[in-house]
Amino acid sequence: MKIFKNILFLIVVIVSIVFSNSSCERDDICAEGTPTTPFLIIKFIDNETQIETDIKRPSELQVRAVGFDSIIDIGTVTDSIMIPLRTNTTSTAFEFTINSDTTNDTTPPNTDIISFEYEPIEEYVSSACGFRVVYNAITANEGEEGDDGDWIKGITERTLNVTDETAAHIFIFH
Amino acid sequence: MKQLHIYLFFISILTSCLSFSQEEEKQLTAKDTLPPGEKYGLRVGVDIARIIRSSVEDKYSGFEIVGDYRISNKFFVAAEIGNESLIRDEENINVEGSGSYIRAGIDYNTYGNWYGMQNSIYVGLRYGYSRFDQTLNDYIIFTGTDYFGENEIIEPVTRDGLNASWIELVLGIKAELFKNIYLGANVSLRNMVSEKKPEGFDNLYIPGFGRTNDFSQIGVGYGYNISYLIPLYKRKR
Repeated sequence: MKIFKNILFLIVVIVSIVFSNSSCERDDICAEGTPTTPFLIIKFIDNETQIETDIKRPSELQVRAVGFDSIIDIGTVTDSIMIPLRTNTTSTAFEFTINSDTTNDTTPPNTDIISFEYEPIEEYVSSACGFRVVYNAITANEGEEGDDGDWIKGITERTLNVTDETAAHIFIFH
Repeated sequence: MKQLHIYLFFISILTSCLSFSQEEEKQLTAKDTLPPGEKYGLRVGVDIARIIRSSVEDKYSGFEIVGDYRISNKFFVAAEIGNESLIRDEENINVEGSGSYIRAGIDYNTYGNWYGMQNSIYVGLRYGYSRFDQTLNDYIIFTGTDYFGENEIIEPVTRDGLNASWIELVLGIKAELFKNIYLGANVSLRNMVSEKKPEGFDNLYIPGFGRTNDFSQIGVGYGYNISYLIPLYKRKR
């Protein structure tokens, strides 16, 4: 009888442990809002006044990375856009095209190329998100003027390093 | 799923023991007439959950020796030493933690046994120390967009000479299945005291402590062990 009592004892306690141990916490999904690799924020300013608050919306803007086929989804442009930079190279070049929609009007599209150069620095974030990259010492260089002329009149870097998404990093005057 | 496997395993052990119990009954009832006395001695054993897990799970290997020594009616000095390694293959990162550990402390038996029985439901306190290394096998740069494709870096980096210490609260049971053979189960709640992190990333698995959490210093663990009591002397309660 003794062993039977012992086994009964084990079962009762184990069952109570199983029931008290069934909750678990999920920490394997990278939570939204976690500061990961920042997007580059570009703000469009009126070149005539050159005042920071004088926002000039580029019409029908399309952005595409040089060497890539698809167009970057920048949503509806109000005053600024957010675009990704390559994390495994030290520069990314983009084609900025205005008046890209040619179906209904006569204004021809105009494409300017801007190349961003930077030093990508890897940083550990968390077990859920892995690593991120911040871009140190970013510089913007306008490519050579094409046949269609330049619509971008000037570029300035507003921050030395791109580490977060709180404010615009680049101003484009047009 | 891992937990479930362990529970299933434990239940299967219990059922196999139940079938044994029929034959053992007569012998054991005879022993109830022994003069009253509580057995004192050194109890040593192994963690069976870690052995099973090592054989069924590719990403884990581990071994743990458990032991306790009864110092009074209710108190035991207890310790576990072990070695384990686990690969945490997360969505964006793959890290292996590997090393050795020791946990030492006391157990307090809260269970008032029936006459002649040597079972325990105990609470324990431990101090744990682990020496280990972490290997970053591969990782992905988290960008929030797939425009440029995934940037996965596969360049294993090992950081050794790391350590961690923690305090631990244990809840467990031990039951004498056969003469001097005990089967035990326990759960632990651990709180990190100190941690030497690898340069450039983090400890994702600490041997003896378990998985670490991004947001807290808390760790949990469990063990199932089988042990043998080396009886040294008997003493009345």
